[in-house]
Amino acid sequence: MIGNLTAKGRHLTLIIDPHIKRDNNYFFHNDCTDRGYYTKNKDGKDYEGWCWPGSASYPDLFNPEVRKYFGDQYLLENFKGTTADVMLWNDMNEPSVFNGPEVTMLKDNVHHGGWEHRDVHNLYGHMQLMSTYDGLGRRSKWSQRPFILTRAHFAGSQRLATIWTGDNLADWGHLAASVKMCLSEAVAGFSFCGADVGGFFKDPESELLERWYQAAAFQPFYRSHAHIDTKRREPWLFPESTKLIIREAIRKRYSYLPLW
Amino acid sequence: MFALGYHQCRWNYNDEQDVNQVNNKFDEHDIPMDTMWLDIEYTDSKK
Repeated sequence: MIGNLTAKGRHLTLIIDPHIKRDNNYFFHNDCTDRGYYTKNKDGKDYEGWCWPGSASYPDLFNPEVRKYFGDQYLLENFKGTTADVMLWNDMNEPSVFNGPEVTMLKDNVHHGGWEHRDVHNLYGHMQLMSTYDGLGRRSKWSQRPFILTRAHFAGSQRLATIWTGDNLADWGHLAASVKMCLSEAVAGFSFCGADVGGFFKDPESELLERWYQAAAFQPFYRSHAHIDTKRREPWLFPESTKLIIREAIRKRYSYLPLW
Repeated sequence: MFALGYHQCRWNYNDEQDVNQVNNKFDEHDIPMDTMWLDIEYTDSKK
């Protein structure tokens, strides 16, 4: 499958979240458990939260050894089936904990160096980026600049990754907000920013989708994305006139790229 | 650089055949696209 894409000069991006499934058959979980790599709760036990895989623990990425271990997993000999053209998406890295307070970790969890989560929460995502960036860079022996998309970020993360505005809605107000949000982020140093074209939740009607493709063509990070429960929305699934407008918008962007 | 191009993503593409089909359709309809994305369901039980 990767060959089909790269044969046309395209890339593939995969999602890797920081949380790890608690599963005794999973090498990563076993390594983290045995080596003490997981973030601890205040009683010194491995913190367990609930996320996509069910019961999950969170590698303590504030520990440089853990960052190196995680980064190593991206090397081609470890991440079987990937190639140097496969890029990364670090999502859920606030960190996101479905059953946690404010959907994140307990504030009195303890990290490397004895830091409570409340003091370093904002840096968790950044720590993951440091790990991923290093892993991908080493993968290509620094011949290629890594591409990473992240949700959580901190001052300085712009050196390592692209950001996006997260789970938005197929709604005109959200389209308008994407402009304001990306501009605000740019002022803070994050110029490589974008929003999910078409809106993540719900189904956009044709006109909204057309306008979103047009507006977002002029935003730095141009990606369409949709929730699993939405209808498929590839451009050719819409009436011909919509498809043509979308195609025109994408082409227009590409025509400007040499200038930008 | 490809990252500035157009990215096509969804939670989730159903399988390799789905990705290949979408990839081909972009060419069939002559729409530029530089990166396909795979969301969480590609993993083995979300590990």
